[in-house]
Amino acid sequence: MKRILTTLYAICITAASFGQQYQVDTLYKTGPLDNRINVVILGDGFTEGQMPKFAAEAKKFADFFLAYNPYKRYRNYFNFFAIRTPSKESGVTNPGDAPDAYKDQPVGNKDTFFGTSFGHQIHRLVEVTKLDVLYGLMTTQFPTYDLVVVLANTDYYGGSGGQIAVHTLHKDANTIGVHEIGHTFGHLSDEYWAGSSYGMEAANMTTNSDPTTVRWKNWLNNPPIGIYKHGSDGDAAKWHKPANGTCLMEYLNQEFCAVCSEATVERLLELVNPIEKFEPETGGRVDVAHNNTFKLKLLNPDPYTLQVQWRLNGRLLPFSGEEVILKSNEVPDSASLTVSVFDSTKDSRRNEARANRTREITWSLKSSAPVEFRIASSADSVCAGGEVVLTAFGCPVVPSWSTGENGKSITVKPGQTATYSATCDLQGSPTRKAEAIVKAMPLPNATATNGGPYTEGQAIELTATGGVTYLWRGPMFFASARAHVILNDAKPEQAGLYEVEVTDVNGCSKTVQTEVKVDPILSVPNDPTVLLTVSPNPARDYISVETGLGGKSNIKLYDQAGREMLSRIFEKHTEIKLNVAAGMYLYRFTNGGREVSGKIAVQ
Amino acid sequence: MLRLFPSVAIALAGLLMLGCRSGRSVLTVSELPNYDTRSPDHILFLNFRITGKPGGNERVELASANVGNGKMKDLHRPVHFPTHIKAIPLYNTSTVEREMLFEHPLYHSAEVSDPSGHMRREEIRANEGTLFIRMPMYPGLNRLELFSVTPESGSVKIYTLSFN
Repeated sequence: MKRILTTLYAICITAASFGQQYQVDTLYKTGPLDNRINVVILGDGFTEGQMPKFAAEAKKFADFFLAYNPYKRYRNYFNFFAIRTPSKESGVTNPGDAPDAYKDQPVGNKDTFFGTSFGHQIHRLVEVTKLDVLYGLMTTQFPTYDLVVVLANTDYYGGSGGQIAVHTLHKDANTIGVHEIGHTFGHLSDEYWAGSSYGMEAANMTTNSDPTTVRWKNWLNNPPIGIYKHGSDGDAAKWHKPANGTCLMEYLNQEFCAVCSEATVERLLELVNPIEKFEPETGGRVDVAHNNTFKLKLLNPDPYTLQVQWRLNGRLLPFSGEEVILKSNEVPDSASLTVSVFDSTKDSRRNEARANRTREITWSLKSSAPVEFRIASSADSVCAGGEVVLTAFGCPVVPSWSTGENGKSITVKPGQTATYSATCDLQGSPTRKAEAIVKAMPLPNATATNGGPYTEGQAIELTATGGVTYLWRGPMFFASARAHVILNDAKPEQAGLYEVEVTDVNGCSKTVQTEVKVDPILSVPNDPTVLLTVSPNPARDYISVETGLGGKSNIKLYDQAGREMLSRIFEKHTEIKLNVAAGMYLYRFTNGGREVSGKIAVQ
Repeated sequence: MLRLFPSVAIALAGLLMLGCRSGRSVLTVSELPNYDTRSPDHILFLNFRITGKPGGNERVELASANVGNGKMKDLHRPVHFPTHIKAIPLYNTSTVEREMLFEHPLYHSAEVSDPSGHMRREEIRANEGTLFIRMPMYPGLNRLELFSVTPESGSVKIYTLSFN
């Protein structure tokens, strides 16, 4: 019995807590915390009297960061704060015992707020040692932070990365913070060769050297972007990067290359919505007789690269600003007004950018003007086989559809892109026709497999392919978003149908299933004399089965599909000739009420 | 002045007296400092002290826990070093489990640079360290499992934090 069951007391471990509040300086506040990247700058080794110096250094770093491309163009997308945490002593600890320690730097311990220290093994590796203090501070003072930078109060060069970026006040150290934020923010890889362990597919690293398909193919006509090997031999020769010595992710004295800028901007635009506010609310229908002004408040990059498009019933209106005023007599009843905002920044050349990050707001309108005969589609595009509802507006009689149906609305499930039309035939009036095109996207080629059948206690392995995201569901409230899942210590109740929704880059999903079999071990003999031995394992042309249990025993062999391949009744010992294909098999041994299962490999 | 809540020490002592097995503990989130029932969104802050050796031979202690009010963005530093900590929150609702990777405080790599702009990676080992986890609190969270991941031993569970 697991001891945990005896310890399930309502024990609450409370946290290290800060009774004291520390002054938070707002360096740049451009908007609400939940729609900005919030950078918090901390200082270590600044005494109470040096707080003005810390404030100045924090501002200096914020300005440096915001002047750095591509952040410079999106400075309004960031908030910067500094928290004043005075240390007892000025400066940071220098153990002075690293081989590369600076000879002119005084050695000694400093009692500082976060315990920042130069390294013991590598001198320039300046790290915070009181991480619990730092995180405790952030918990209470600024729990919704996004990025943390620590400034160490010394002019000697040093710094480090990780969940937080640390650097000193040395004139060349501030790019350490920008480089480290590149890792966190843009998920960028290092462009210097750091070793085989760091080879990974990333925005700026790949094994693909094909110029027609490489991830940064759209930048290859933009020197010095190219496809460069990380090294001339070994694993380094298998990995490629977009720049060769001209990117901040390789050398700290460089700026971001175009590919790293692109990844950074894409991530920024994923996290921050350029539509700050809109009026009126979209909840109900807006009566344009009373309210005909529609407004956006946009978060503008510099230079301005936002493309704003207003559409009435799908037709582009001749306005591209943040406000549109409709004339009520020109707006048919039941019309819809949509505004879309897309950042057309030249920092990104990603093919899917417009589809992925166009933000839209739609208003339903009410008007006294006659309704226009048109078809409204519940979606412009749909995954193959998906439902789309087409509704005809503006016809006083029942319209007829190209599908042969009659009615105000029809539901279609296009297997491929199709055009649908509706006809309004009002006696005494000209026949009117409206069309709608519905684009159908193919479904992913999804698969789901497991490595079973399993016996109790083994690890269940589930694998799905064919998409970019996965959503598993299964017995015992199982849910996972991973392509490859391992469930250790399998239980019989975990057996059953597992299904995974596989979604591709278009957002199209297909659900596939795999059945997991887990056989129970009903009785495991405790007495070593009754243990079952099945050998050899792996086996070739026979297996020997031996048990210490008396009486008749039965052993059965099953293949991975659960088919019984052989059965033998015996007492104490038997040898069975195998005439089966190579592979993994499950055996089930029974003796009276006892049962033991296991796996055996046949070569 | 920073001070640890005395209750941390009391609770940890209580765990030991009750015979709590190393590597497990129970947390009542609604009783944590700063928990505000009026806030629709909460962020959980967990601070673990880790000693021993990576690969399943770690000793993990929950040093502190706290709650912040508000939303956090999906902004995690990717971890690619082969040795790391994997954290998986598990829910008794249909909330999807999403694993989180963290640098192993006892064995990780660090970037070292020099004023000329050159960088390299160095492996850092330690006998003890701090693992800090910040994660959004979704309804139905009933436990958080920590795994030590190494090339030699694969993924080994080293701690389970249950939630009341």
